[in-house]
Amino acid sequence: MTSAGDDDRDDDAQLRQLRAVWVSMRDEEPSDRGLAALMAAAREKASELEHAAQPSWWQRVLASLRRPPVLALATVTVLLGGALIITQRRADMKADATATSETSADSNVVERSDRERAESVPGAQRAGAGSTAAAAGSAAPTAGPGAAPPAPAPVEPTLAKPTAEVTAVVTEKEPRRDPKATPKLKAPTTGSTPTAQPEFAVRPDDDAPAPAPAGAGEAGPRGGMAGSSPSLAIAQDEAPVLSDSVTSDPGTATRPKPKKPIARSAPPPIEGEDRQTTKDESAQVGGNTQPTLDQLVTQCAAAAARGDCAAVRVLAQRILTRSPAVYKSRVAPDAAIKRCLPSTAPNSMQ
Amino acid sequence: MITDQADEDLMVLYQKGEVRAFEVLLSRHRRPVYNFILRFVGDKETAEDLLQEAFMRVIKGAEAYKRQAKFTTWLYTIARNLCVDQTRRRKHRKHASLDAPMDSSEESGTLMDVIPGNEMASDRKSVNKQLHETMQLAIAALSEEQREVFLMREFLDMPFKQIADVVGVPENTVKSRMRYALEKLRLELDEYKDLAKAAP
Repeated sequence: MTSAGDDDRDDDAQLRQLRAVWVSMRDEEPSDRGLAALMAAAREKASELEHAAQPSWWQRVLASLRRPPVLALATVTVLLGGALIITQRRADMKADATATSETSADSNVVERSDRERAESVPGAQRAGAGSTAAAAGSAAPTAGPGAAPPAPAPVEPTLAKPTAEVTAVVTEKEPRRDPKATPKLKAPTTGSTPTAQPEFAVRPDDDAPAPAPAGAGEAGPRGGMAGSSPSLAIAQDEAPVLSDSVTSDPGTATRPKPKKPIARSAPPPIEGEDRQTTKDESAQVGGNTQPTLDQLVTQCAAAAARGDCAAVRVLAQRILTRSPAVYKSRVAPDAAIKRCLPSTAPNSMQ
Repeated sequence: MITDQADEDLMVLYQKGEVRAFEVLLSRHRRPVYNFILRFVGDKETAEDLLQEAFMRVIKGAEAYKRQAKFTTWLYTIARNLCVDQTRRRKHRKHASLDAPMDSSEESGTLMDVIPGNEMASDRKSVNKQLHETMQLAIAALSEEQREVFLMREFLDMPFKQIADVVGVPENTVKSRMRYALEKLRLELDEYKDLAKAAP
């Protein structure tokens, strides 16, 4: 026999002769004794090994999950799911923001109405019949004799814009602490034409004449608002018809001066009866009267008819606050109003 | 063909339940393993028992076999361990008498018979027989460590590295043992060098 490559044998002559001897030694052949037992054991073990070699169901599932198409599908599913979750969360956040702003608006409106109610008592005593006229004028947008038929306003597809408007109106009432918080709401103060700012002329309190009825004291609508005029509060309740740019202008909101004549000299086209400026309405701006429940219900119905759900919600809240019975009997059954209210609105409002 | 596959591939096949692979392995290694054991322990019956036990251990440990290991290294490690255990057990017994028969068969002679005398064998056959028997005795006279290295190197033609793996010692130790084994054999068989020259 020869050795492998790592041969370092002592290949002298004597050793070669000896090696020739043991190489010539024949190999013995083993007997077959025990061979059958050996093969039987081998077969038995082979069956065990074969059984063990078969992967279990979860191993097969795992192996199939490791295949590239399944991995790609899983990746796509995860991506789509993530996108869905993010989208849904964003929508939820928007809804939360809307609800928060609505809540704050509602609470502000309630506070304001309470304050107005408290203040309107001496104002009404002072104004006498004038305040009654102003109260009648507050209903002018819907019930005034010279009011044009209500033009159907386009239904707002989302709640975002009306809510923002409501928020803008409500915050206008409060002293603005941080004007930078809503920079986009800044409005042009002078030089803007009515055509450039059509909402400016539409706003009832903007179009209100400077002379105030007896007891009002202040000339301008903003001044009236600063002086907590109840009629102005009604106008603010109709916030969706207001322009953000106008209503949220802090300078305008706090300025006691009357509006510039450009707003009155060239009013924009009238869009609806609630947007129409009437003498009665103008008269009620400076009044101290509080709108009656009937007026509120009427305004609410009108807002619902033109699809202004934000206004509907604010008005409905006011009605509910003042008289739950009236709310149940006149507001809740109204189909148009109901469309604007969340399904749980009555319960939550109550 | 399954018969053309390497030992390691056959073992992997057997791990998957292929009995035929084990049959091929058995037919391929049964005879050399048997002769290794036989030359190690010097007894046919014991060698056959140990051969069966070695392959039985292969069957039992088939699950643990790794493809990276060389099959022959694994197989001869099993066989060598069995041989070492056997010789250690035998050390506790009395040494065999020189008058005791070497084999169970009736025609087998005694150790005294196979130890060559001074007179030369008359014919070539008897010379060969005498030489082989002398060689077996000389190999049996080697120490256990030298014997296993010598058998694997000279009869199984294993590289030193593989022998080192089987025995579990460094390669240089294996080479050293091999050198001592050859020296000892040379000394033992020095007086028969002329006989070796006469051998075919």
